[in-house]
Amino acid sequence: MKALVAAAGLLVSSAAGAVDFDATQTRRILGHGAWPPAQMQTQTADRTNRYSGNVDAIRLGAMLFGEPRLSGNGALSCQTCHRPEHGWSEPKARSEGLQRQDRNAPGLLNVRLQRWFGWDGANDSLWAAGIRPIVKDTEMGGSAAATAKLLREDAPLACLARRVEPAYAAMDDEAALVLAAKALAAFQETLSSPRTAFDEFRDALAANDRAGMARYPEAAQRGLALFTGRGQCGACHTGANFSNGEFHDTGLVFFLNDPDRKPGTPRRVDPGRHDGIAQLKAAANPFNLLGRYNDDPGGVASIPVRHVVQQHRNWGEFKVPSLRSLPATAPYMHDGSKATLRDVILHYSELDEDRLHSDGEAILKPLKLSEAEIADLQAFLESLSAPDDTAARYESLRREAAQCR
Amino acid sequence: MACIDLPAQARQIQGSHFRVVVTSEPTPIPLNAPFALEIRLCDARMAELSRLAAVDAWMPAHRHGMNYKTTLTKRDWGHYRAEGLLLHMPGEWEFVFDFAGPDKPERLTFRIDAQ
Repeated sequence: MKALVAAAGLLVSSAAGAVDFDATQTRRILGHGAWPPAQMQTQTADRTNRYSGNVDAIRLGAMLFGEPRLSGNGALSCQTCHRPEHGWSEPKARSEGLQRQDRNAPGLLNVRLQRWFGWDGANDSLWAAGIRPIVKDTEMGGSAAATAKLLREDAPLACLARRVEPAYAAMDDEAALVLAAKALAAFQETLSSPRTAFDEFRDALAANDRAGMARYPEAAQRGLALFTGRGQCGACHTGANFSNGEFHDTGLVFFLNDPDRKPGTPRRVDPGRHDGIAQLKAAANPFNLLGRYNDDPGGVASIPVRHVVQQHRNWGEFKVPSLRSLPATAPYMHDGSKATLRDVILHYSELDEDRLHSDGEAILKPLKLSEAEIADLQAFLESLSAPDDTAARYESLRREAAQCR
Repeated sequence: MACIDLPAQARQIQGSHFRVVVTSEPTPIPLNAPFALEIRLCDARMAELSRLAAVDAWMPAHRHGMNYKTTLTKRDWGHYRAEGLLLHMPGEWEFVFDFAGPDKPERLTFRIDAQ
């Protein structure tokens, strides 16, 4: 990091091509890399999950991810809403489990880099985030007992579970559910997005490689200048994954677009992070990192849950999404209300300041972008994407796993 | 209490009757990752050594604070540890140290540019 900061001082106005970036912008651009980050290169294990990085757990997780028998009606799996060919999201605005959900299914690429999970951060580990949809009666409607039974009775699943945890058959139902969720997490940790045109530009900038910088399209460079300059997008979309992993109110309409609402009943709102913290810290929640299933009690990962507090401004806040691999994951925002990247950019261009909390983020202002600027920002966002092979690797993992006997 | 052999990177704030010396773990203060502060009251009278009541941080330009509540523990006379801090956005943050007292409370602050 020290080397990069030192380099930043030398790279003022150094971008070959359409745009000159000032020293602050250069520092910000360098802060969006390197990609992949060290945490992914070294496959650093999630210490809260004893099966993180375990090859058999990854195979078991891949099998379970597409397993409809985890659901109450035998027809829904994780893959129903997190579709590999859509960046592990889906094209529906709002997901449909056993009932219509209030939110869009978030993509899962690079999910291991997150601190909180779900749009409301109701979970503080990837493995706990896998439990919620399985057992929630409006999502998959499954149960700990049914999951434990499936792990015991299905031959390939039982084979893999035995390899992961030899004594698993003696586990109670809840512990077996946690085993399944930790295997699901071990698999999801392998879902990472590839290097992109932006990453090539960023590294060329760090190396003062003017020829390398010039290969980055001029429209994307202009969009990057807006992103790191007047747009102040990097205030929330920080770091190599373009997300600070925290929660903000960005002025979307509070009320749910609710076609199922009966006439005469009040319109509903999604409380977002406010309710997420309540769920996270509920006394009856045995699955947060303060509970007995955390394999690293007292470790660094549990610091946030010990100190997070519910505040008034959390109402209507949702997690800042990563900006990597966006095109495949349309529609956008927590409620899927923006069909295209252009719609998202227009939202920030025409932001309704009257809708924002008085105690919320004070730097959010309408960007009032021109058509050319909108196109440039879109070109930049699209440059954060490249074809990935995670869908093919998923199928390969499932074929390998199905051979276990 | 006198403070000697303070780390070179320690931040010092002058109060009405004492200095506050702050070091972070890790150093420098990271962006978007948890950290702790070690806080020492230097050149303070005995009665002042137990007065630190709260430690917080906020972004003046953004008009909001952290998403986390700091826990403060007393380690020794005039020596405290604040844990659970996390600066989730780049920019200027102001650290706030509130001292309670029988006569009048005192608030000391310093600012950093978190990047």
